[in-house]
Amino acid sequence: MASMKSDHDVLIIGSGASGGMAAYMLAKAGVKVLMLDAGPSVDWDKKRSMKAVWDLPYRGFNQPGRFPHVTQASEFDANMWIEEEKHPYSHPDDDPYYWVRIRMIGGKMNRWGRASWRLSNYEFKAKDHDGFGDNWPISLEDIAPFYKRVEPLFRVSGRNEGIPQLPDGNLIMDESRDSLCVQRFIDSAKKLGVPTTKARRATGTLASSLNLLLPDALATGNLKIVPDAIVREITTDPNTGLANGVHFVDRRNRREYNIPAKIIVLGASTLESTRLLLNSKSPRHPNGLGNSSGVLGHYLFDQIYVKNTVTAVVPEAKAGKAPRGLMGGGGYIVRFRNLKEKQAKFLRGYTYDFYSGHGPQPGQISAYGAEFYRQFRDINGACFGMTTMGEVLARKENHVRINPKLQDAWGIPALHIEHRYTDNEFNMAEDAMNMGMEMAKGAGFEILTAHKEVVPPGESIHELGTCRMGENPKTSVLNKWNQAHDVKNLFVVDGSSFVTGGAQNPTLTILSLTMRASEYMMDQKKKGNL
Amino acid sequence: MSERIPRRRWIKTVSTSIPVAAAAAAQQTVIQAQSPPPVPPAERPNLEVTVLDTVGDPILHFFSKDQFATLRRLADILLPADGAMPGAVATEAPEFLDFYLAQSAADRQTRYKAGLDRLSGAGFANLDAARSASLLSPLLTAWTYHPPTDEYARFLREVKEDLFRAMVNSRQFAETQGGRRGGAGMNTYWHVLD
Repeated sequence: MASMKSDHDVLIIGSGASGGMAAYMLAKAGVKVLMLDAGPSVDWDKKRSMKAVWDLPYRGFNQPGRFPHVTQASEFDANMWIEEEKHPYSHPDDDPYYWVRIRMIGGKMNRWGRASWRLSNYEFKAKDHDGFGDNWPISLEDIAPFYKRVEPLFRVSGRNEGIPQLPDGNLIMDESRDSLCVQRFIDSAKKLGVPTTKARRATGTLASSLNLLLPDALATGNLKIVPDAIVREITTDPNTGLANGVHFVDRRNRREYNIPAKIIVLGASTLESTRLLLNSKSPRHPNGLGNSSGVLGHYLFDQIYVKNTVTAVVPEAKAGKAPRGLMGGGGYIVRFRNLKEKQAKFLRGYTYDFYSGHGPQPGQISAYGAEFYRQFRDINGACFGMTTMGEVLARKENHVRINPKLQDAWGIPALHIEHRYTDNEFNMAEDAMNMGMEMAKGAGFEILTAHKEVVPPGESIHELGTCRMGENPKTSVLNKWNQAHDVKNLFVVDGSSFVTGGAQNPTLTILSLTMRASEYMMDQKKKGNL
Repeated sequence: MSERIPRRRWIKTVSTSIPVAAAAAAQQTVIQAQSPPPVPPAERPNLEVTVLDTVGDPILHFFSKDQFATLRRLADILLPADGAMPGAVATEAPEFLDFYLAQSAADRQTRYKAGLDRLSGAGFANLDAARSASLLSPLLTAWTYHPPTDEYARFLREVKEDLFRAMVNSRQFAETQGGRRGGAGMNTYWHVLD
């Protein structure tokens, strides 16, 4: 091993949910940790200020063409997001993939929606339930103790309902009263056998590894964070095949470095981690690091989103006449399909976020001039909306691979991404639209617009799989501890390890898996197995 | 109210009634009384500045004279002024779209120009609202998630949404929304990270 300038025991790649949690657990337990992140360390006070939309160069429209695949980028936060010019990737012309990325210390956690749902055994043991795909090598019972510890760390609020498809959490109980329109909607859903609950969300304006994990880890004196370090390759010992270091590039000036490592924790985000492993070829690992199974890069999935599936109007709130307590607030509809019954047209299920008290989009009003203003004002503040999130089946043909003809600005080979939705997802979206309308009508609301159009793959920013865990080394990359079957000193702890994803936002599970993997790692280290 | 002593007489009075050294100090006092002591300059002052479009008229680049006249007329019909609320014309939304479209994708540029040419060819800029109604009838069709397949209908939908956004995001609009939450369009802006 090369000389070590740094005395670290573990090298972590990435500083978001997974990298941040690994650093938190390991550093607090006395392990010396070095963390590399591809993005800058940002001084939030210096890099942000209040501005008026009319004082922006493009009056809030954003610079045309700057973000062809990042619909989330506004002109206010455009400088946060990764631009494809320096960070290219490819996809089939007729199947666009929206790869949405942030590179800075804290990663995408600096912008996540903070929704924090547990997975259930309907996800962990999905194959047992409906015969499709594969089970995870773990069950809810394995990860529940870690969910229980992560939820208070992220101050997750919500309400426990005692239903198996949405396991109860260790929550700050949300006892707030629902507005009258939300109560009416909940009653309508209940009549159709559809369960609802409060939003379950990490509280605080920022709930990121940046403020909740990394400061505590740094305070131990056991963590060093290195920003601007883009890892090009994980190197391996030609005799043992074990990881022995990384080769990285200074983002700012392209200067190249090597650094040795005894244990590597990879948490660079789902597709960046897999890209790095695919780019880390050697005679012992000719198809990419940890890829003796040939599965690395395969079984890419995410969650379908149908934004504003239903927009309805609460009649009593029209013309600004809503009585106090009628409008405002929202909630969450828990999966209700394919639990005991079986849908003919699709497997698995979907959920909704619902919300109230907003106005229409101008395009939703079929009028112009004075009549447009009249209709707009009539329903402004009287709208009730629903957005669908649905499970996407993990299919081997949905995959990423290295595009040998495409490199990023640092000369690192880029990804080619192929991900197509199937009738399973489209039929699910149609069912969600119909059920959404039925529930809204049952609450006495008037339907303004409804649709079943799914956003392109990737846009949900819930990309998962491609480095999945499993019992069988021939059909998976990682074991049940997020440890590479082929390379025992390599742990991959981000969303790439997922086998299924349900319709629940994945971050809470990523955090919990990482906490679990970190404790296993320390135990194995103590036993001399690492 | 105390009696005001003319400045020259006041100085003369004090200079003849107190010793010279004290007179100098007194004279300084007089000067200070007339103009407050200068504030020491800040090392890096934040100067008050003015927004460009409040002092200059935008130079148009993209649309032809006819197309722009049609766009202004269209803006006035789709989103007219309404009471204290300025409409699309007063908020210079057409001028902004001339700038924005000049940088937009080619298919969008083509659709905008073709749509305006169609309206212009029908004499739209000189039609009254009632006679222009048939030309704008695609705007009365029900909303669909996907844009209309007909390019003219798609243009009308885009221009209505673009004008609306340019209007409500304008300085002139914000000034009329003063006490309303979010009316001023303020938000957190991320500066370039490097």
